[in-house]
Amino acid sequence: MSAQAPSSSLSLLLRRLVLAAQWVPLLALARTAGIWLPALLAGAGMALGHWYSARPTSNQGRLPRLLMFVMLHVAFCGMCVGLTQGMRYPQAQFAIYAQVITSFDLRKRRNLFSTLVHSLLNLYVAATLSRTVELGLYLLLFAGLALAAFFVSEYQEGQEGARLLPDPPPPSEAPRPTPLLWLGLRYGLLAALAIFVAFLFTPRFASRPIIPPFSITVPQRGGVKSEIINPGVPLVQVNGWSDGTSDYYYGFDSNLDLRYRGGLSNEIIMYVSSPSRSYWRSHSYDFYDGVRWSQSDDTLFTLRGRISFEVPYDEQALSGQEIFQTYTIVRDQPNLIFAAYRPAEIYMAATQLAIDAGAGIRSPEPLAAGTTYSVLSYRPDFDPATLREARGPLPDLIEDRYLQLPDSISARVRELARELAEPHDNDFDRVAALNEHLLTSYAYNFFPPPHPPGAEVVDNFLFVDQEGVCEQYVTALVVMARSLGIPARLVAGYGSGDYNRLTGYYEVSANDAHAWAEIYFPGHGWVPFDPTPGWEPRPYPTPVQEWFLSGSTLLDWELPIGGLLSAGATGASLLAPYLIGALSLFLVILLTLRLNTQLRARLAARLARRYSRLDDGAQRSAILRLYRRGVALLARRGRKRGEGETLGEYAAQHPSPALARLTESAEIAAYRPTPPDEETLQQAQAALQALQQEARRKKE
Amino acid sequence: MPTRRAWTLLFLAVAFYGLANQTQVGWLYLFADAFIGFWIVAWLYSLGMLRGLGLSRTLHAPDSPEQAEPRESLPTFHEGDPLRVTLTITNRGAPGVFLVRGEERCPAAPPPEQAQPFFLPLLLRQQQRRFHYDTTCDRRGHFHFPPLRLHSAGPFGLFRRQRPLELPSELLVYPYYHRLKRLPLLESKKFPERQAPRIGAGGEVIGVREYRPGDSPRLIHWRSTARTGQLVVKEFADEEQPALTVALDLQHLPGEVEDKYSPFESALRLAASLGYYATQKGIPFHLAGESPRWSPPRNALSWWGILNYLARVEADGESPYAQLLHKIAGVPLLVALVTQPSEATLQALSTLHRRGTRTLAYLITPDGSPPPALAAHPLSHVEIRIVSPYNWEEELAR
Repeated sequence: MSAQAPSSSLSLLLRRLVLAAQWVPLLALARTAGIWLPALLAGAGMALGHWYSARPTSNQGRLPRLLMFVMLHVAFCGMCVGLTQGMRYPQAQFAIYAQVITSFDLRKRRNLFSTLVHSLLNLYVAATLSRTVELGLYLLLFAGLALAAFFVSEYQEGQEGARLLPDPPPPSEAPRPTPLLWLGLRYGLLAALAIFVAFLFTPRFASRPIIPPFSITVPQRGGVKSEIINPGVPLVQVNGWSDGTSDYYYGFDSNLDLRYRGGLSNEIIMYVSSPSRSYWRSHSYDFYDGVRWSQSDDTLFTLRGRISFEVPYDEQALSGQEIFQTYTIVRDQPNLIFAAYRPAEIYMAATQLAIDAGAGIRSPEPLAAGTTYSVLSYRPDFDPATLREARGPLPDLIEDRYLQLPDSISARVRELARELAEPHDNDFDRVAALNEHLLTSYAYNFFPPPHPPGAEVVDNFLFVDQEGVCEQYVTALVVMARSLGIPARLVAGYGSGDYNRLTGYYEVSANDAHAWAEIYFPGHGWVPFDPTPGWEPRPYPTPVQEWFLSGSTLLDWELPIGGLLSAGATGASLLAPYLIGALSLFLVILLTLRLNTQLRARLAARLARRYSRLDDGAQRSAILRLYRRGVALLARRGRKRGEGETLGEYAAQHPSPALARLTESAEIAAYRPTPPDEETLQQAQAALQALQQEARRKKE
Repeated sequence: MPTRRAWTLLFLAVAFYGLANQTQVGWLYLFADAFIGFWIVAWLYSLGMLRGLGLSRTLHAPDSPEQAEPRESLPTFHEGDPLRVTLTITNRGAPGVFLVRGEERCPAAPPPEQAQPFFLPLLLRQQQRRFHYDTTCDRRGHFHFPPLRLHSAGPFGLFRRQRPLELPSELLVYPYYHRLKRLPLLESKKFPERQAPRIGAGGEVIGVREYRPGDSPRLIHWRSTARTGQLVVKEFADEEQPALTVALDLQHLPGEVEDKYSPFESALRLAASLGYYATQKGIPFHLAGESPRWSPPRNALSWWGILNYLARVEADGESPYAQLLHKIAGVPLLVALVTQPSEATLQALSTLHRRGTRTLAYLITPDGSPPPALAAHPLSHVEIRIVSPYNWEEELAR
């Protein structure tokens, strides 16, 4: 008969692989969330849990399970306290501590795979927090370990169920490691290819989430102030200069001084997940005095809602593709809400939000690092042909506020505007001509010459320096448009940033801070233009990215299923309350039925035990207890009782007169309807003693 | 066929896709795609996994060399003989076959040893692996090995593929027999109807007589001729006459359980032992029985013929044993192997002596106790032995 290898070594290997796989998400969480101490403690706890679970005597009684139940609730309470006390990622910590607790009950192969699913959830949490490609390494490592665990498990299962194993290969057959390596490599490459193709063609969802985003962090409290508070303002400010290392953008302020020069640092200040490339708009300025922009009206309008806030727009503005963005602030930002144009709903942990007269949304406090909020915007689809037809009287408010110009505007600025606009008979083409002129005729320079005292900025930019930064370009466009009687304003915010296709985040750096213009068209509202070279000429959201290569110049088509999915999800989001209600009801019914079945079975078992104890005394359970001690003793000596092995089978496997006598007594206690007599109990006691002596002798 | 693990993976893919859609976290799309990717690759891999596997099986005694297939004659064993089965699996298809499980069934083995599940961790292309197991031929019969069932869930247990591998293998197991040197019951003087040997053309000299014209000169017994002065020739025993006939009860009784220790199987072992005795002694040996498929040949059987017949015969007849006994005529010596001792059978036995047949009846009962019918119908002119499947050997030699 071919030899059968023991499976205990495989069992240990499987356990080690699973433990290693459990550690990977811990490491990922520690790296992404910075929770090193909890991760280290959890890692040690998991190892301890595995050691306990692997012990032959870890027969889970009621007490350990009760302890685990209590500990899980303690951990949950800890999470709740952590939420209110500002603990770092309390949900992630609860997830890993819960896994530590359940690690003490990983006795079966099934449990080991369940804990792998739990680890996957930990990795999911790490993925939601990760903004870099480093997570790919952890994912790869986890997948490798999980697959290795699957392999070992299959191997072990095959070996356990087999009577025959292959004879050793003949000596003439040399070991062939290369083909095996090649096989593994081929499998891995094929899997990588399949994953890549699947990733490439996965339809992306861009609509409103079915379950609205919610945050369980402490909300921002208090009223919203009209003043823009920028936490990035340096304590010592060298007037008008930035050396390219600062995070402070002077545009995020109540005034925008155009005499300022310099660049910003390349540090990432926020991550934006969005299905569409866009500028992330914060606020606008309407009043220009020749050297600085400011807001003429500091009135704030409180937004309706709580956690979810609605931005008041007319119905026309609330149509088009839905774009759902989530912003994660990495470095402290002003009390401005950044959003793709046009924002309609804001989801944020705050008691109040407000909108200013220039359609900028304000929060009660500056956005601290770690703040997360979501915005639902409707993408406007500005058609040049329609905009060319836009005519009509301007609303008084627009006319009063957005045609303002200071007296210092020179005649040659007005003349240039008139010259550029003259060939065109509509405002859109006029503005496009101005924009094109600015894009093509002036050099971008972070450090143009210092602004001469008393000079008007636009005149100096267009005719003297002929180079500058975005604020000068935009001011020139706005001033020239206003000089032609077209309402315009300067808008501040961030450019889209670098898109990481793997993580799906736009990585917005400090030097993505930007200004652009908005031009008013009757019947269409404010249309963004960007006259700065090197930036997007149309700074409002691009069409939604429905798959990996959306927007690619090579493949100018979209996955048809992407739109369908989004539409379906939109419908589902509207039905969400009903769906959740129905699902909850279904789960309650299911739970009730299950409880009913279990309780009935338990009640029946309890009654049966009660009746059987009426005449049993304690002898039956005493004998069974003695038997369990005997089995535990043998298990410690490596003779573990197999799962599903009967008492007789176990005794036959391990021939020993003492065990045979103990088994006989246990069988009488377990199966004989009449209670065992005193003699049987004494026989069991004597057999256990003999078994213990036998074990001692063998040890010696 | 996707396994539960594969369904779990698919569910996780859908769940992570949903989460990716809800959160727009790019990594989650990658998670979902990783599950889908592994799923697809595992499925593709499973398609041709077991296709190129070939199998050969050899049956031989553990101490004798293997005989390469195909062999010209059926491998033959006796009940209780040790048997070694060697399986050789060759991979001529996929580059690598992982974690193959299978079940070999040896129909001739004792029931607990019939199923022989095996496990093959890895078989690269053009490699072969051998498995062997030792068992014993549990009972006589003509056995066909069922197809070998192979299945594998690949290296990661995601898709299960099955394939029956047909490999026609046959095995003939002869019944166990007792090497009976003497049959005291037949040879003893106590046998009530034992007669003096008849004169015939045998080889044993049983007497002399006067020469008659036509007698061969070779038969002249010269010593007696010299003593008497007349030509005297030798007389020989008629060795054709004491042919031994064994009557088998081949009636099928509904509900009868096939068992190694059933009276029928014991009757066959008894018959084989008697056959051995007869062939050793040179006594012609006949078998009698009534069955649509397994009626024994009418002529005297060789030892090989006896074993072949007894290895294959099955109780599938419809006629009662008593009917067979009533038909028996002109048989000088009959051994009746009674496995269902009914009154009708006992009555039929008692009439045999009237037709000049000396009868020895073995009544085989499960526990060796006298059948109730015997108390109601005591037999005369028949030598009776009551045996059980467990003591027939001792009773036969007594």
